Amino acid sequence: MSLLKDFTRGIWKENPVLVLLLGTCPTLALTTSATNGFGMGMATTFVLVGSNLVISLIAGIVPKKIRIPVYIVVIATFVTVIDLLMKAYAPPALYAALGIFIPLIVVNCIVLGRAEAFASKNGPIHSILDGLGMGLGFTLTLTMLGIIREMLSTGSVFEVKVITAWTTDFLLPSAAPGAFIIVGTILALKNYFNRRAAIKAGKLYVPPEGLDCRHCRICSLPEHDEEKREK
Amino acid sequence: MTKLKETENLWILGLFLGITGLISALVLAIFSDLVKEPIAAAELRSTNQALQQILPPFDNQPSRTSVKIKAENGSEYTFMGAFKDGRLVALAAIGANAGYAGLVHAMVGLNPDGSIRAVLITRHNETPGLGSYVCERKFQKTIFNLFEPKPEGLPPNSFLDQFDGKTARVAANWKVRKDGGSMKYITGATVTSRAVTELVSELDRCYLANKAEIIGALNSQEGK
Repeated sequence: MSLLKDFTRGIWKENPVLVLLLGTCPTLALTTSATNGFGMGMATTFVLVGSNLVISLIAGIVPKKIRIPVYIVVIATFVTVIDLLMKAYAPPALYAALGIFIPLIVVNCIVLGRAEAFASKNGPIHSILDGLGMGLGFTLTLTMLGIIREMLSTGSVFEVKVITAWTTDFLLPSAAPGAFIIVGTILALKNYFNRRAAIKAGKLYVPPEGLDCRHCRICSLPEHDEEKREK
Repeated sequence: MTKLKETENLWILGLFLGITGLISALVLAIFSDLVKEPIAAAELRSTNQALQQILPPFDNQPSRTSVKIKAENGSEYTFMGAFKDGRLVALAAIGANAGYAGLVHAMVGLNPDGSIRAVLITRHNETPGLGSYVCERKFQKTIFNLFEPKPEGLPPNSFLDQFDGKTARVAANWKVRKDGGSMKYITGATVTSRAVTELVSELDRCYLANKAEIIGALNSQEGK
């Protein structure tokens, strides 16, 4: 049961893009089309699964002081592997589009975030499932965003024109400002519905535990303390 | 093991990090050696695909029959020769020029007399929806022709197709109309249009200026 939970958590409840808000760089930059979003998602999934597995295995012996550099080396190794694999086997158009963003998976917060928050504290099987779930959640969200942006800007999905009368591209959704607007709208809608559902059920809407600012003591701002006291 | 985890000894920490890096380098060295051949094959495949689109039928391997020429403007262009039955039928000129965002790489099919067969942009990073219109040749798939086979030949692009059949020597004024030339350009993508026009004309001029040298080098390579 807990195995299943590790897997499904990343897909909806702790979706890396919509809930954890991690990895927004590829999310905003690469979802210009559904194919790009899907390709980036799959590459990140591969890195997540690989790095989660290796890190869960070595976490017991890595000195605490240098754990972050060691994790980054492991992650960078997997990123280079997927980069070479895509160069060899992915369609040239896809590799050309994802190009510089593949090496940048190294600094994608999801990968290091899951390594530090999950894989270093859990066994290999749970870590693989967590990586798969988080990767799948990332892929699904990126593909969905890609479909929305491609649809709004060219009227096509996966490069297949659905509305054939649409001949001139509408640039805003496929450009960076459009990405911010669309992602922001989706986040607002998600929060709105979550809150409404919570109020209907007669509960106070609280974001998932540990995923917002309140638990964090790094910047202990006075207003956060007040909020806590109110709880 | 807990001792290693809590250690603060700098030497041990450094050694641990060094060993991690060494293992990772070893894994990557082995792996990159494994995929070296597939990568080369994939690159050759995409080059050949581009060559087949802009050249008449040929029976040699143009990417192995090539000569590099340094042009007057300082950039280096590659010329590949396409041979059929031992005779030079066409050339592919390859070069790059700075566009709006990074380099625009082009492959231009040339007839041996220097007239242009077709222009193909092989790599670019221009703005999607603006500069990309100048560079991309794509068949638009729609839900109505999704299962029909792809039409043969090069997909049309009204900007790139205007070079076909022309020679840089005849049309001395190879500039976009905005700069007083004769080439039409795409509104909103003047920089890209300008870069591509300049690149195509430089490639053709370079060929015309070094024609004897290029053809001689290609013939002697093919003769071997």
